[in-house]
Amino acid sequence: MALNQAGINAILEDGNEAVIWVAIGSGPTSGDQTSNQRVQLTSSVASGVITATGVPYAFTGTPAAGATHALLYSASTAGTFYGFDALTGDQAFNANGDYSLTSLTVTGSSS
Amino acid sequence: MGRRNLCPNPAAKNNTTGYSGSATFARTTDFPTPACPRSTGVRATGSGFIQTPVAACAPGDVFSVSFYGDNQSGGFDFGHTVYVAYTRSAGGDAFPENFVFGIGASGSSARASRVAAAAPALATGIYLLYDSLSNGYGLTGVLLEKVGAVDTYADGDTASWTWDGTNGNSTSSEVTLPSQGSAAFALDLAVATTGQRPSAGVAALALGVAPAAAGTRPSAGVAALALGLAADARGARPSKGAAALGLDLAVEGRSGSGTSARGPWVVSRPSSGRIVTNVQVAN
Repeated sequence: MALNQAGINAILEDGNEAVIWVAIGSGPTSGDQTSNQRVQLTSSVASGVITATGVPYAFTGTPAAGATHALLYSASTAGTFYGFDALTGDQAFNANGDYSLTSLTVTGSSS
Repeated sequence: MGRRNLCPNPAAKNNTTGYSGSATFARTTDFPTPACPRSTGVRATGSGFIQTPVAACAPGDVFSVSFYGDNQSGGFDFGHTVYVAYTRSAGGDAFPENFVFGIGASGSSARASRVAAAAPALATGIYLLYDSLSNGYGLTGVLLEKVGAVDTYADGDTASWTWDGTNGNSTSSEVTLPSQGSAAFALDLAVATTGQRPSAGVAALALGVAPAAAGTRPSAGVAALALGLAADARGARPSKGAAALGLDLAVEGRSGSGTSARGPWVVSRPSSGRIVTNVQVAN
């Protein structure tokens, strides 16, 4: 599963103007956030693909903490959970507790 | 934590600041590379000792210390004494250990290295003293690192390292890059067929998936008909223009579910009763 029903509806409602915050997590659920903060997604869209702009997004966390999933929410704290996607790349924060999200895309399809 | 070279002028990149001694010496740019890590260094022009810049140190600190010696004296080097020395807050400098370092034939270079014992009481700094030199002996690539094993030489000019202050005249540190990754979400509209209908048109414009504007997934082969639904705002009933095509897509409010034949068409209604989810041409 990637975006959940709430996430799908948010994007169908507002496309790339949907207010979405992204966090780094150690698992696929809303409670798995390991980053100290969430970063508000800004994006452009072309050919059915929403692409994050302003990357890389910098996150801080506990050194060596898990960083296996990108988690999407409706707000900077609490809010509605919009889903997750497994991260490609490093799977943990570095020794200084830093993690950079270098790209994020949402690709629409009807298949 | 990344590595740090605490020598504040490890290769005389710009000048000889921090170096001293009883020998006359000068900065030169003739150190052979890659035998030496840098082409710049300090070379004796007379007899005596040369000591390196001082790295900050506290009592009990364990340092690994090293430098590259270069012999351009014209004679064979059987060895010179290198002292591990400490500045102290009182009582003058201390020289608790030393070792003999020989380079060999003139024109060659070698690395002197040692893991020092714990710094003595009152220690405030650590440096190396290269003793009893004569004209032509030089040193460069000084590494004063607070670790328990000698590592490869590095300074601010090494890849993934940076000068902590002035380029060439400061300590230097390894740059620890952040971990990084990327995510690619898939918005598969087939998942969205729950009958909840988003605002019409918005998603179609943003995502370019017009067939899904009504929140449902058309059957294959009827995209042209489904596209008509995208223009149908929020209403449950399509415009009569659609009916003019011979289709009655208004199914909301009808009781029952399943399929029924209307002339040559088959219209099915989702259990949620909101919108047409499956329009097929009957063969």
